[in-house]
Amino acid sequence: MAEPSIEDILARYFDGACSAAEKEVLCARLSEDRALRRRLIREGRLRAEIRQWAKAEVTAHSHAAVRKRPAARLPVASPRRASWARRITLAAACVVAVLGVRFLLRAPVPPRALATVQRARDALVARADERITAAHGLTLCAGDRVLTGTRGALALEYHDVAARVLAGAQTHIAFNNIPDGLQLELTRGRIELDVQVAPGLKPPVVLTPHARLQVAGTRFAVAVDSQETRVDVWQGVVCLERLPGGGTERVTAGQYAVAAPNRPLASRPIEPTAAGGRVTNGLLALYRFDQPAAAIRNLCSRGGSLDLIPQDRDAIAWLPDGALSLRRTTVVKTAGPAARITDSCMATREVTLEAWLRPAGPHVATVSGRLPARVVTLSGGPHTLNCMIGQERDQLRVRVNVRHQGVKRWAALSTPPATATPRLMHVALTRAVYGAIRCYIDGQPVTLKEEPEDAPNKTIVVTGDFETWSTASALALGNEIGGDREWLGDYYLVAVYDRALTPREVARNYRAGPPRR
Amino acid sequence: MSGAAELTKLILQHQNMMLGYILTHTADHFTAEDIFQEVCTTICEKYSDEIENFKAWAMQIARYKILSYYRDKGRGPDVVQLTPELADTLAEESLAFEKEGSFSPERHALLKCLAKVKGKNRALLLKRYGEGLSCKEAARAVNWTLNAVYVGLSRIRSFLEKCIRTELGRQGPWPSQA
Repeated sequence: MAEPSIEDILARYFDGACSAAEKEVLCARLSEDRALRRRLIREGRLRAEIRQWAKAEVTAHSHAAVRKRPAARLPVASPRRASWARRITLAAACVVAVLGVRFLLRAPVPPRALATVQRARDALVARADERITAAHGLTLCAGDRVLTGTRGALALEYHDVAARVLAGAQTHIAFNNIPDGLQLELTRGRIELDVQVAPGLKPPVVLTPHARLQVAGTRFAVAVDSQETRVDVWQGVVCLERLPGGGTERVTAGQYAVAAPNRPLASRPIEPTAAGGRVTNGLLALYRFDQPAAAIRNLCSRGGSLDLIPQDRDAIAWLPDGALSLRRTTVVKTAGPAARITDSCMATREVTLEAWLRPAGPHVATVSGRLPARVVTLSGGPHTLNCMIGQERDQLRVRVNVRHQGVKRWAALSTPPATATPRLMHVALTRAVYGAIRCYIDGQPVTLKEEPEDAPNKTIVVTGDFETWSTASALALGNEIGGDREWLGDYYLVAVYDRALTPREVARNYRAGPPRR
Repeated sequence: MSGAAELTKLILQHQNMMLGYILTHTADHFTAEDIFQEVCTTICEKYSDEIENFKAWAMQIARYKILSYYRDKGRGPDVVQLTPELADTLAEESLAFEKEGSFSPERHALLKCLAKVKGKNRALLLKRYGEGLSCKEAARAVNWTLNAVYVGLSRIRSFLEKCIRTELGRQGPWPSQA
């Protein structure tokens, strides 16, 4: 069957006959097609006129008040007919039920269900000879193997232990049911685990070709390639046992260790130079601007190689006090999608955007630019925004996209006037899993307003998850992906976390100060 | 003219513009009118003589109301919300559309053309738009199949498009479709 044209979709939209998928198509087309937007506006206007005319006609001719939408009519029950067909159907159902019960009684005991897939992209589950496309709600059993593709990711939650696993691209995991608990065998790729230990429950053991990891309630990541296994621990303790060659190492929070043949097994601090007294738990990306470079390196290995690249090198300047200054319209963004950031935040349903910056001045709409101007944004374009910190005049504007009960919702909040002035300032936006959104300026929470008539509050709660986030989103500074929302000013530091920093942690990062050359 | 009378006049003057804008987001007349009522309440509460551009100010309120409608009263899994960016863009472009003034003659032509719709088509139009029935309900009311209602509405729309074009003495595609 031929795909419906955009004209058909538009007509169906106004007739209330448009499916959710068609609405998505319409939204996407509207975002990029000015002529279509104009048609939509005109159609809306015409229909409003027809509505007014028709209401007046109905009132004038029938002298009856315009009635409200009636309740849906109940279908009239048809008289019951005890036909032969009905009897045969009933008899067949009985036979099927009896056979079903007998089959169930004879069927072998199904393998133990271990975990449920929360989210998956480009991922397969290998079960015996079957290959099942991983999707939300799929139950993983002992013996199953998960394989993710080059752009794949998968998040799952264990049933019996409070453990959450996030698998990255090109990752192979096997779920083994060993006598003394659960074993997760990682043969390739990278996983992150968030394990909460409770009395009487054994956390899963992670097995790789080079090591065995005993977990003691923690947040950590394991990366495996053909040569080595690397463990990064952000919280708690992991006991790392090297398999070929022997030896064990206790890896504590803020440390990493590598298990590889012919290499000493020792813990080392994660990002010793980048952290500088700042919070590292949950850190995905950290950028400092104290060294001029063609590409600004992500100092956090957990986030992967998310280097920021200035699009127009003539529009930027490196300041002597360790800042990157945007002097003219440009954008500084990751070369490709910031998949590691998006996937991690979607798994935790939390995010923190943080920056040390100095706005050039109050940002007002220009001929080429719209508002809010983008300070830091994680998005695929102005219409597929995941979250951002922006500026409009002398106020900060923050936006977070969430999904609540299947519906895409937006938190579009602003700080009070005169909060974004041309001075060195520390800004942080946090969104916690239960929905609380906060914005901090210089380590202190500021009031946020959602609408002109809403009462300002230091915490705005917008419940939901991040399932409507675009996985093709890039991290960008100084403009929106695709342009049009330019911001001018200086950056000293930018950081992204996959969790909501607490007020104390934000204050700690503020006290750590901006990096200086 | 008193302040209240002036405000009423302003609201009535821009009523269809705002309704049209809201309708682009909701596609449903009842929802659009509910939102429009909230917009009017806010306008009455907040209106002051200092507001220079009433049209832009009212559109901004309509935009906020649409966003808060979707945020607070999610209407189930089939609802796809336009992004705030798209709502901004549509608000800006709706204002520009009004400013062009091209719709005013079209509106007059439309009213003339609507008078030419007769018989069953007129009954359908009044059921759908006058009484605000959904297509399903309108199908029951005029004793047509749902598909026949969709086809009927589509034909009425084509007729109106042609008629407006004739009334305006235009030939060829509409500027908006060019």
